[in-house]
Parts: sequence; structure tokens; C-alpha cells
Amino acid sequence: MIEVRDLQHVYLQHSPLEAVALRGVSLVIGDGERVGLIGPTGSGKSTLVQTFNGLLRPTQGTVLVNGTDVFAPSTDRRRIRQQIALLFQYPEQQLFEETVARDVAFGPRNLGLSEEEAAGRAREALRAVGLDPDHFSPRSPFTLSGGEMRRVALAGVLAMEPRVLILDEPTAGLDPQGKADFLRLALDLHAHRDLTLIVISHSMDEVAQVAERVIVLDRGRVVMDDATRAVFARAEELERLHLGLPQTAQVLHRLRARGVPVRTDLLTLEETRAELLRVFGG
Amino acid sequence: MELQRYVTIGQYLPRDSVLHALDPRTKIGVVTALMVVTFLVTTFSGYGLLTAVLLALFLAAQIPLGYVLRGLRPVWFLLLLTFALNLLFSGIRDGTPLLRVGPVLITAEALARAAFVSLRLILLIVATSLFTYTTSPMALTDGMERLLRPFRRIGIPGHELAMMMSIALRFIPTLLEETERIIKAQMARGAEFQQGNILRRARALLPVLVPLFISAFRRADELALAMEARAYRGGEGRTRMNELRFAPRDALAGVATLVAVAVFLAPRWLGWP
Repeated sequence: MIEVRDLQHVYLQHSPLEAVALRGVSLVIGDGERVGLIGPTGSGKSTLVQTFNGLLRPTQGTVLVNGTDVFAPSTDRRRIRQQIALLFQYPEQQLFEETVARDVAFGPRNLGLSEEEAAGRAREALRAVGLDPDHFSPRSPFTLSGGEMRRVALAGVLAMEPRVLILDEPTAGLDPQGKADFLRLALDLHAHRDLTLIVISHSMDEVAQVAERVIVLDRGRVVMDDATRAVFARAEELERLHLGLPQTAQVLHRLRARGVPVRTDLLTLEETRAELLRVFGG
Repeated sequence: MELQRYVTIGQYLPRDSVLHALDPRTKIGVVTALMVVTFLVTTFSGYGLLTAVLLALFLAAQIPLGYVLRGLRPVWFLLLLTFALNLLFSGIRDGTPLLRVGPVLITAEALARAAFVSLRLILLIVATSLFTYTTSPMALTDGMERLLRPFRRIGIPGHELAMMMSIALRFIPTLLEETERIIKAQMARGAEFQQGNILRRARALLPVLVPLFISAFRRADELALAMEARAYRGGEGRTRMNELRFAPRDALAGVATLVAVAVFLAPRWLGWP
């Protein structure tokens, strides 16, 4: 469980370039949840998730992971980082080793595991992201396609066997097929490994597909925090934040505006299809 | 972790001040004069006056003093070393002894010289930082390019040098941000950078340096492509949107500088001690 209390953060504090990123954020994320984190650019999403595993020390406020204060002097932050994996934007840029196997094993090696154990974890993680270990292990990460590189990067954090997986704009720059595959992979991992999933995204369709709960940030504050359906029902407010709605919900809202009596709180393609058939169907 | 916090030297601070508005060529002249004066002044009273002048200039430029001191942080070690070396190995044997520890003798004269040399170093750095704080990188390279133009005939590629410099300056913040992001990404995978001996720490940097170099090369490639796409062909026959032009305030600044230099050097010419 991740609990943050009254987080405030100012970048480059006390300098002419200072910028406030968080202005008092408090929230609790329970085990096994699927959370979408949305908000306009500069609303503090990336800053917030970096405090969860102690990568960024907030200027004020506390972060508790399963009751442990992440920033207490006695806390082993490496252990926190093992539990809470964070995959940054464009994670393929963090690959550096000569082979895929060694790169994926980097995390486990840092945790103090033996070479054999680390290699075993790497194979397992590669399999989990849908890459055949025998085929990919000996290859250089720089010879892979963009989508494959991103999977290798994901395997790199999964090999630490985390309890929480945070994805910062995981599908940015991928082609539509790559996007769909990567999201399905994230959902699979959530289902089969019992992971808590936190996804930052600018695509409302993605959020609707992945999240059961949505947190909306605006200028460093939590402005909405509710079930996905409830958040996307507040269309005008989201519009004002330039966030918009999933495409399915957009269609339903426009029909409603033209006087067609459809429900507007539907998210998936399936639900929407059923609703349209109910209203227009013969 | 905020790397940008530690690299304030060479950063531009946009303000609405007279100093910011001066032509970069004037400022290059002024800062050169300031540096020459720093080397020629030989008395503490001279440095007192110089410090006062610099403080006044910073005030006029609306740059907070804390920011100036922060710019000194990367050179603290150098300052300390200079001070210690001058204090301990001055070679002054017949001065007023202050302290003797074994073979090491500290004299009042050595202390004065150490303080003097350190002060000179500080003033040099502060003077140049005044220049970089008030001059945008763009203006700086424009000024450089214009000043180098006469040397084109003897084969100095002024435009190319200026272009390289502005590109380098432009990418300092970008690369810092990128470094920070990669460090964090590797830390998220359990990497530690502050543990073990120097060798271990150097090895720990590998996971940061490799991705950083790859991305720097990629950026360079993309930039070259973007420049060629806009038909960049070097400085030959290239015109500019904003030609540098001297304004009356530049003449004023020039005269003020000349007067100041004369004041600082007068004791020397007049043969005062």
C-alpha cells in the first residue's frame, strides 16, 4: 500500500528558476489496484510517482510504503525500489549492456543476487513480456525494434519482482499495434502477478481500458479521484482541463447532446456497441 | 536530485536591466577590461573598490547575490587549494612569523598573498559570471561571431566557431535533464552511485554514460539533419534577422569602462606604492 500525505514539491527552490510541481497531494493506493493518473502537461504526475519509490525527495510531506516512511534516514530505499518498479518515459533509452540478458539482469544483480539467480530472473522476465529468452538473450539491445526494446526495458524492472508497477506514458511513440500489445501486456501482468498497476497517460482511451480508478491532477493538486466511470462522467470539467474523453464516451455524449437517449457513462467498445444497438437497433 | 541546481555557472538569467540590454560586443569589451584590471590591481584597497564596482553592477543587473555565490560552488576546491598552496609554500622566509608547525612556517606576508590570490580568482569568476548571467547564449555567440569577422581573412572560421558554441551551450540543460532522467531510471533498477571506492563508483557510472552518449549522438544526428533540411550551408553569404547595432548606451558603457580602468590603473602610472 502506498500512502502519501500532504506532498509538496518545488523544483530548484530558492532560485530564480523555481517551479512548484506539487501543492499538497494526499492519497492512498491499495494493493492490487489499477490506477490511471492523468492531468495536463506540467500538472505534477511524473513528479508524484517519483516520490513513491524515493527517487525524488519532496520538499514537504511524507510517503509511506506498507507503513514504512520512504524518506526516513533508516529506510533502505533500494528495498523500496525493489518493491515499487518505475518505468520512465521512453525506457528504451536506459538500455546499456552488451546483451539483452545482461541488461535485464542489471536490476537483480544490484539487489545482490548471484549471477545465476540474476540470469534466471532475466529469462523469466523476458518470457513474461513475451520475448523468447533463447532468441533474444544473446542479442545486443541496440539491434532490436522500438517495441522490442521497450519490452526489454519492462523486463528489466519486472526482473526485480516488484509488487507495484508504475508506467509513465508507456505507449508514447509506439505504433497502434505496439500500443495495444503493450497495454494488454500490462493488464496480463496485473492479473497474473497480482501487481498494483499505476499508469500515467495522455490517452483517455488507454486510461479507460486499463484503469479501474482515475486520479486527475491539475497544477499540483488532486482535482478528481474516483472510479473510472465516475471520472469520465464529468465531461465538462475534463474538457476544461484539456483532457477530453475516451472516443467511445465522446460519441455517446454527442448523441446525447442531439437528443438521443443514450447512457453516457460507458467506457469500453463492447458496452458502447451494446448501448448503440439497444437504442438504434431494430 | 536536481543537477541543474549545481550548474549555475554559464546560465543566463533574463531580466529587464540596462546590462542585459547592452550590445554583447560592448559586454565582451567590458568584461575583458574587468579581467585585465583584476590582474593589474596590486593592492587590497584596489580589490575593495573592484568588489564594490562588481556588487553595484550585479545590483543594476537585478541578479540575486545568492545566485552569484552558488556559481562559485564548483570552484570551491580550486580556491581552497590555491589558498593552501600559497599559504604553505610561499617561499617567504624572512617575513613576520605567525605560526610554525615543524618545517612549515606561516608568515603574515604569505597569509596576505594567499588571501590576495584567492580574492583575485574569485573576482575573475564573478566578473565572468556577471557577463554570462546578463547575456543570452544567442547574443553571446552573435557578438563573438561579429568580433571574429575581421579575422576571416587569415582563416579563422568565426561563424562556424560561433555556431558550434551556441549549439554546445544550447544542449547543456538538455543533457543535464537527460543525465538526471537516466540516473533515476537506473536507480529505479537498484543502481547506487555513492557507494564503494573510486573504481567502483566509476564503474557504476557506466549504465549512465552509455545511454547518455547514445542519445547525444542521436541528437547530434537529428540536429544535423534538421539543419540540412533548412539548407544550412555555413556562414558564407548568410544574413541575419537581427543585425547587432550599437546604441547610445553602449557608448556610455564604453566611456564608463575607460574611466574605471584609468582610475584603477592611476596609482600604477603615478608611481604610488
